[in-house]
Amino acid sequence: MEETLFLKKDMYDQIENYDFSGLKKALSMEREDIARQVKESGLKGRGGAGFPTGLKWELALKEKSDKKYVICNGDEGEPGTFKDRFLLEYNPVKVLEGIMIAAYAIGADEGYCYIRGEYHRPVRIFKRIIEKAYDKGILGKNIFGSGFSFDLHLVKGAGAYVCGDETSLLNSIEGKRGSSRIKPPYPVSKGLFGKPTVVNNVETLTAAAEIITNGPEVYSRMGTEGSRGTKLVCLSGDVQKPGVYEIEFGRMTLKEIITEFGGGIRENRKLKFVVPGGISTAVLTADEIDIPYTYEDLEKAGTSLGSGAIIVVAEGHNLVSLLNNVSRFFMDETCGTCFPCREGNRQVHHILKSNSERFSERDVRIISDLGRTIHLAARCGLGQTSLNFINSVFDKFGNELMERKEITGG
Amino acid sequence: MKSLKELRELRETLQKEISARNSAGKPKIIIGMGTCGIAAGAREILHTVLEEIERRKLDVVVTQTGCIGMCEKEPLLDVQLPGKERITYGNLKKDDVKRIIVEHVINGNIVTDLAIARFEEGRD
Repeated sequence: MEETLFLKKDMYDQIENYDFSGLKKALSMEREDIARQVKESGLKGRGGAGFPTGLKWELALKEKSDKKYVICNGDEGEPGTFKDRFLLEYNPVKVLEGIMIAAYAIGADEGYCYIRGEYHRPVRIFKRIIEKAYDKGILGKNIFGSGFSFDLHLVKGAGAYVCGDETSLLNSIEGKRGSSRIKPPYPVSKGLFGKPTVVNNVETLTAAAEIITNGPEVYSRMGTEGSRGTKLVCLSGDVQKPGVYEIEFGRMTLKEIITEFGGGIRENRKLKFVVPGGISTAVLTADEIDIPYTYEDLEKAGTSLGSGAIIVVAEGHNLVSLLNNVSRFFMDETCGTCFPCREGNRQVHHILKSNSERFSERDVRIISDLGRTIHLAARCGLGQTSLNFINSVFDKFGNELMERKEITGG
Repeated sequence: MKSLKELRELRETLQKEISARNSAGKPKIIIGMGTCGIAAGAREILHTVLEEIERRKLDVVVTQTGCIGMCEKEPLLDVQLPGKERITYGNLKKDDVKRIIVEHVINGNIVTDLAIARFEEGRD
């Protein structure tokens, strides 16, 4: 099977080679129509939460304010995810176009591109693109003679996973500590410096640029009812050919993605499980991956498409050490604002660390309870999803992880 | 402890210990141990590094880091020699580790066919 090339079709890493036809088209349209077209396309946010992008733009456009912001979220920190890095390196011009279309659509005259601090190369590339765009009058005052003016700043993250959460990211840009804000108010009404703000993921903005360029019907024709268009998936772990692949929703199963694009498991080992959307999502066992790759089918299977990070894990890995790895990550990365997330993840790590082989039923129950508590009490996605991986591994591989019950009586 | 003299002696011995622990001036090997790295075999790479260092009695600091978004090139290993550029190696197998240690860590020559990136921090 072939990749469905939409985002990967016309990639531009040099600003000289592109005429910004999508942006020019947008500048000739009514603002409402841009948001409506993105809505019609069915595009959902590709950062992990999957909020409809057109709706977000529409809400931001309706806000009355002297100042609005648009932010490109390139703080790609979910382990296993590298699609935004791919776009920033190989298609930065379209990313810029997406940011500018979003800005025009909501009536923003200033924006930020927030890129993960570890992404030295993408930062260097995007910085050059911004400089050149200013030189060529693509950024700045009265762009293409349309009367639309827009300034874009580049901000580098400082290594905190939580800053990928949009409200934490806003705090980080404002120079505050990276911790989440209580919602509502949502960023679309009170975001950066208290002004209406749209925060979109890199892939979302790139897709929006292509949707405006090619028309929404091209996009909405692809995929399924609940999952329109294409998705960049990041294959990593025990596969022959890891990498970024573009998939049309519903055309392939998760299993086919792994066997056909990934080339199957390394060294002909047996598949143990798949993390379908980064380590904030529940794992699927080898028997559960024969499902179409769509938002709705993964949800039905009790997990989520997340950021598109598919980590393939073969037999032969130590499960407890993997659990410890994930748990340590969340213990380190919780921002500490909501205590159930801060203390809960610490306790879970403590339980996991003090067992090297088998866990008691009590341990597993405590971890599961903590997971539910954090899910209900945490205000941001980090906390809410922090125990999805761990609880699903206990759920699905309990027989390997738990103490064997003594058979008594009889 | 009963006298000021003893306190000073203790301070001296502990300061020596601390400076021995200090990683400054020593070659450093950093292994990507994010979930994606481990799934791609980083733990085996870490064990091989530790074995090689033990076998050759090298004075090298081994640390780990998390996912840096180069998951398709995992397992990853960085070598940082004092005063030199930090080099990232990727798509590693066990045998590659031996080569990197002999050629780069011991002899200071970058193994170009395995290197995938130079650390770019502060290069702009």
